[in-house]
Parts: sequence; structure tokens; C-alpha cells
Amino acid sequence: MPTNPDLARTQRWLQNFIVEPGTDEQALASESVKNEYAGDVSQMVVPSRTLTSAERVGVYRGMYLLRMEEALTTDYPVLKSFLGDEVFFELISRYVERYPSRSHSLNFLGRSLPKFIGESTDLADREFLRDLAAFELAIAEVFDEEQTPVLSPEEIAKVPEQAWETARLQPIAALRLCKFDYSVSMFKEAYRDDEGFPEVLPGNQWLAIHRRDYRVYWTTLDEPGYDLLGLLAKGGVLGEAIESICLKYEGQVGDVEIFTWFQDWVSQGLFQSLETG
Amino acid sequence: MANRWHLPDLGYGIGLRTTHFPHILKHHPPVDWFEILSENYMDTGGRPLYVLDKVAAEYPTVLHGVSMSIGSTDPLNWNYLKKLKALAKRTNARWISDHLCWTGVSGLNVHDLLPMPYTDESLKHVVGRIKTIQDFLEQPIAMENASTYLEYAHSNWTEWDFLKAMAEEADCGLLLDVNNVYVSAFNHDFDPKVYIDAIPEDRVVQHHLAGHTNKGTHIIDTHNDHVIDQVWELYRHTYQRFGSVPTLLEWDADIPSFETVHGEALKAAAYRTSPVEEEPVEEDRGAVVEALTHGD
Repeated sequence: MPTNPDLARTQRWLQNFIVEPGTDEQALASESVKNEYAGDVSQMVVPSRTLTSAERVGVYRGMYLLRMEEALTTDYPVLKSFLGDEVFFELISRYVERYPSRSHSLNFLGRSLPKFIGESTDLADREFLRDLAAFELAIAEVFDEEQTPVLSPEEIAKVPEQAWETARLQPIAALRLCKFDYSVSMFKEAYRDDEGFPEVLPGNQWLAIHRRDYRVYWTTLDEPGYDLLGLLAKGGVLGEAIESICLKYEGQVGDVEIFTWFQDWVSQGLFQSLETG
Repeated sequence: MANRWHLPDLGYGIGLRTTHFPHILKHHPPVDWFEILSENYMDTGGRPLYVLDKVAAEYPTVLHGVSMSIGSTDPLNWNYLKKLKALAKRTNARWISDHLCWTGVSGLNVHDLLPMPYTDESLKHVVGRIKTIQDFLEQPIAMENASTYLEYAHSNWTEWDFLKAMAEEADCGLLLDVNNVYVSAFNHDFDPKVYIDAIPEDRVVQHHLAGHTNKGTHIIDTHNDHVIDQVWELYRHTYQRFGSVPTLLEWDADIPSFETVHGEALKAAAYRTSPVEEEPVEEDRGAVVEALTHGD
């Protein structure tokens, strides 16, 4: 009979058993588990009146993936609804094997799911699913972002006209600009309204996902507007950013469009401060 | 008997849950106190934190965590502890609690309250870490007995003796979860009253109560239902031993209306004042198994 394992070995043994893929029997026989304790499971865990030693450790193992699925369902409800329960569970089982939680918080568990989907070449509609997951991830991030002040139209009105050329606008923290190859927001809206999902068809979509009064919104942009907002969000000088966009989209973008965009963005509370001079 | 830190009896509290945010903000219900799940508010600057600030301004709060991982052989997570300390200050938390368990090793977190082997090595390990954390947080913490589903063959302490020794050597508080005592007693076939009677009176700063799921062969601590009668009776026994201790009703899955959860918490008052009834506390395992077998 092997000697009693120390605490560290005991913990690695149980954790390896919990996260090892396959059946309980396969996990118990796996190298990662046997490397920590080569003896029979009954020498590590005593049976109860009603459960064998293997069944008792199996309780923890069974709950692990369910807990991971529950956490990821919170962040990816539309993806789960689109895939169906079984396919989603299979997807997240493979995902947490590759990207197990390394944080004290489950909030971060799903941060690599879009990337993982993009790498999963065996997945049908992979590129669409990656975009859908990225959209839901952006919503989750915006939900949890730091609360920052919002620049009001009144503050904007106080800025002298000559100061705009060299002004820089700082976006709120709870803003994500996303470019997708599929119109993913339609799927979110169909899910929200309890309607059937539309057909998956390629088509670019540019979105500003943002939070106002602790609620998350998404606004559809056109490509020039997305580019301009992107330049401003990166700290670009307003005059230079506008000039760059007008040059890139010559004939498509003029003062009227820019004025309208800017009015919309301010009213949506996308900026927190303005630096002049 | 009062605890040795003279922490007050806050009365009957419930856990702050997102599904109840609108009700709390609108109705300001007369709840004695709220327990805050620490990890839910550490890494957000959004609505949860906004609501927490409102609640903490209006009600007494305590922090209850699931990721301190006090028993893990990994190094302490100082990033986590700094956030915990900041959150305690922000909410003016009356005290901080977590579980006697570990949640992961080798840098991973499986987000479960995994059981400790009750050995001399474990005791020394846990006591040292609790002392370090209490020094850092500059206040005593309370460790909760977790529900467990397995027993290690090499444990040479009972859980209750281990808890007692841990609390006394580390000079920490205990959060005695009455439902967890019941669950573990069922799963490991011991008398829950023996467990409760062994816990040092002056170390208990809080109780938990909750519903659970009886699978027939074992019980899972699911927090998804009303407290069963046997646990209420065990709570009555607990009151006889410890007197008035702040009591928190946990309901974390299939969460019903605010009024239902709060009403369940308030039931505890009846068990603080009623005379002790000599009812058997242990559930009839055979009857439960038979009922499940016959599809009742």
C-alpha cells in the first residue's frame, strides 16, 4: 500500500481527476492522476455507506463542467441558444480543457472563447460563431467596465470654436468598437425578442457597444464613422482624424455626416472628457 | 454567549443577489443585514457595484468569499486579498468570511469548495495562512465549514476537532453553516449534534442556513430550495448552544421572489425562541432511497 500523500500531492491528485477529460474511469486511470498517487482510489478516499470511493470523487468531477457551463452561459446566452445545449456543452468542455480558469473570478473565464472558436477548425459556421462570441464578450466587458464621467452637450458647447482643431476626446471606459464579418447584433435582438434566428449570411457590421446609466447598448455605425471614432478613441487629434477620414472616404464624407455623427456620439455619452490646446 | 470579538448579533440576513436588485432599490425592504459575495463585486465597475454602494449605505453588510482558497498549497493570492481588503473598506463590512477548503492548485481555479484532508500537516498549513491573512486584512476572519462529499483515508482528525483546533490556533472566527453540518453528517454518517457540540462557543460569529438537494445516496449543497425541517431542528439545537448569532439564509439557484427568500430567513426567529423538541435530526436515508426508487 502506498504511503499517505502529502497535502500538495493530494490536492494535485484530486484536481487532476476533476479536470481530466473523458469518463471517470479514464480520468482515474490517467497519467496526470496516477503520477500524483499510484494507489487505488479507495486508498485515497474512503467509501460511504451508499457510494464507492470512485463515486464520491465523481461528485466533484460531475459538478465541475456544469459550473463552468453555468458561468459561460451567463456571458454567452445567444451563442448557447444558437448552438443548442448539447453542442454548447461540448464546446465549453473542450474550451475549459484548453483555457481553464486561472482567476479568483469566473468573470474572466470566457475571455478567450472567441479566440478558441476561431481556432476550432472542426466547427461549422466557425467565423460567424467567433463573431457572435466576440460580440457577447464585448457586451460582458462593457457591463463590468469602470464607471467614468460623461461629457455633456453643455460642456461641449462651452468649447471655443478655434479649440476644436487640436482637441482630443477621451472615450468612456465602457466603450468597445467592434468590426464583424456577420451582422451579429440581429442574432442578439432575435434572442432578446424571443424570435427565431435569421439566416447566417456574411455582411460587415461595425458596432459601438457602450454603457449609459448602467445599461449596455449597441449602436450600428457605418465604416467611415467607425474609423473616425476609432481614431478618436485612440487619442487622435480631432482635426487630423477628420482630415484623414475625409481623405480616405473622399466624396462619401462631408461636414454634414461628421456633424451628425458627433452629435449622436455626444448624446449617447461616448466621451468622458475633452482636452484642448 | 457572545463571541470573543463582541461582533454584534445583526439578526436575520439574506444574500444580496442581482435578481433582487430592482426590488431592493425600489422598496428598501426592512432586512436586518445583507451578505455580499465578495468575488461578485471585486472586478466590476458597473451596475452591481453601483447597487452595492447603495445597499451598503443603507444596511449592515458582511463579506463572504469563495476564492480565498485558504487550504491550497499554492501561494496566497495577494491580488485577490488586496481587492478583498478594498471591498471591505468600501462597504464598511462588519466582518469577512470564507471557507475551510481549497479551490485550486498549480495556478488553476476549479471554483469549487474542495475538501481538505484533516491531518496535522493541513492544520499547520491552514493556521499559518489564516494568521497571515488576518494580519494583512487587519481584522479577524471567520472560516465556514463547507459541505463535503468525500473523506480522505489519511485524515486523522474529525472535521469538528480540526475546526476547533484551527480556530483556536489561528485565533479566527467560525461561520457555522448548519445546513452544511447536516449535509456532511448525511454524507459521512456522523451525528450532526456531536459536531455542533464540539465547536467552541466563543468563536462562532455567524450561521448559515440553506436548502439542499437529496440525491438519495448523498446530499448536494445546492442552495436552491427552502430549508428542510431537520435542518431547522438542528438550528434550534445550535441556538441552544450558541445563543443569538447572526443568521443568514442562502438561496443561490432557482431564486424565488425577494419576499419568499426574506420570509425564509425570518423563519429562523421561531427556532431561536421555541423550546427544544426531542425530534430525531438525522434524515431517514432508507425511506428517501425507497421513495426515489419507487418514483415518489
